[in-house]
Amino acid sequence: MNNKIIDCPRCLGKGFVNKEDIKRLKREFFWIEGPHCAFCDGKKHVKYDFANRFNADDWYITSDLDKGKFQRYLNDDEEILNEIRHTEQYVYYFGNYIMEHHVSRGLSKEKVIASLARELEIEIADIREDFDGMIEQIKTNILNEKLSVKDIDINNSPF
Amino acid sequence: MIKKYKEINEDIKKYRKLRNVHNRVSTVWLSLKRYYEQSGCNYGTYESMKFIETTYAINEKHQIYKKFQYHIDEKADLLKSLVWISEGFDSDKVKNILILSSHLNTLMNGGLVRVDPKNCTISMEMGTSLLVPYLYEDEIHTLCVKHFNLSKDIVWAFNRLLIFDEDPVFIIVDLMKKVDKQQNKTQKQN
Repeated sequence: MNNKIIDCPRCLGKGFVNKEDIKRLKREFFWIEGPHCAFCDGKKHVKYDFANRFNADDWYITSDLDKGKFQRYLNDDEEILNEIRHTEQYVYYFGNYIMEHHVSRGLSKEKVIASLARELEIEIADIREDFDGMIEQIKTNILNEKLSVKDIDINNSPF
Repeated sequence: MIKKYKEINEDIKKYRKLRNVHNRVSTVWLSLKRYYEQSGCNYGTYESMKFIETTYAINEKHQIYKKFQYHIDEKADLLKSLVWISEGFDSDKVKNILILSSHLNTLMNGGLVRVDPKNCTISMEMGTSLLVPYLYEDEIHTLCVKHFNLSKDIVWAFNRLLIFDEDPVFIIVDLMKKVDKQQNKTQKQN
């Protein structure tokens, strides 16, 4: 066993996760910034063994995670691992769908949610909460900063 | 004497060729296709309608894409470039969209925002007389880059209205600040 302690690779030793960390770890569809890093439990350092076993971008390890489920995850429970894999795919699909149709094509929220519900073959009411939450996450993590004046690259051209 | 006569004859021929819009159309269309062939971008060509369609990422991380079209308009004698900003906006927002687009059309130099309230679409186009790229092929590149750079600002403004529900007046004020900042940056670089 290696008991070496290292700086938390998720928050880089800050004890909390900010937008830069979310972007660096490409978890814009999964997390929002918060005052407490779930990977190091806000302690700024983690055991080398833990960091070696779990990736810093492991989306499942979050502050609001149920302790019982987390323990099952640590024990490599097959059911939990399948659920995580499935949820990850669902979140990516959801996020990319909104990015493509609402943000890039400029379709209204209602049109996008209606077509998404049709594609997933579920009721609009069943996905409304997830949909609104994802839009807020996209606005905070992807669009907000891109829309700020300081980040506009006037020389950026595809030609 | 004969040599001079031949020269004048050639000039007249050239002049007639320049006056004929149809000649310009085929030449500029070929130049446009050649330009895209050399650019290495993914694009689609609509031969009978004489337009090229492609998508470009308008942010650094390649997360936001917009559809761009380049079209030879024989009737208007123009080479047009167009970007689709919204392909189906919320009809409740039409009033604010019209306010924002009219502000933008007043401010813009060369570009034109078109709002179709019936189909709920917003596009921004820019055009140049076919004579210009007919005489100077490089002008195609100039038009494309100019239109692309302008479209980034216009998309930025409409995103704030369509996604963030902001008031058009505040958007215009921020846009003017942004443009001033860009101009200062360009002046410093030069």
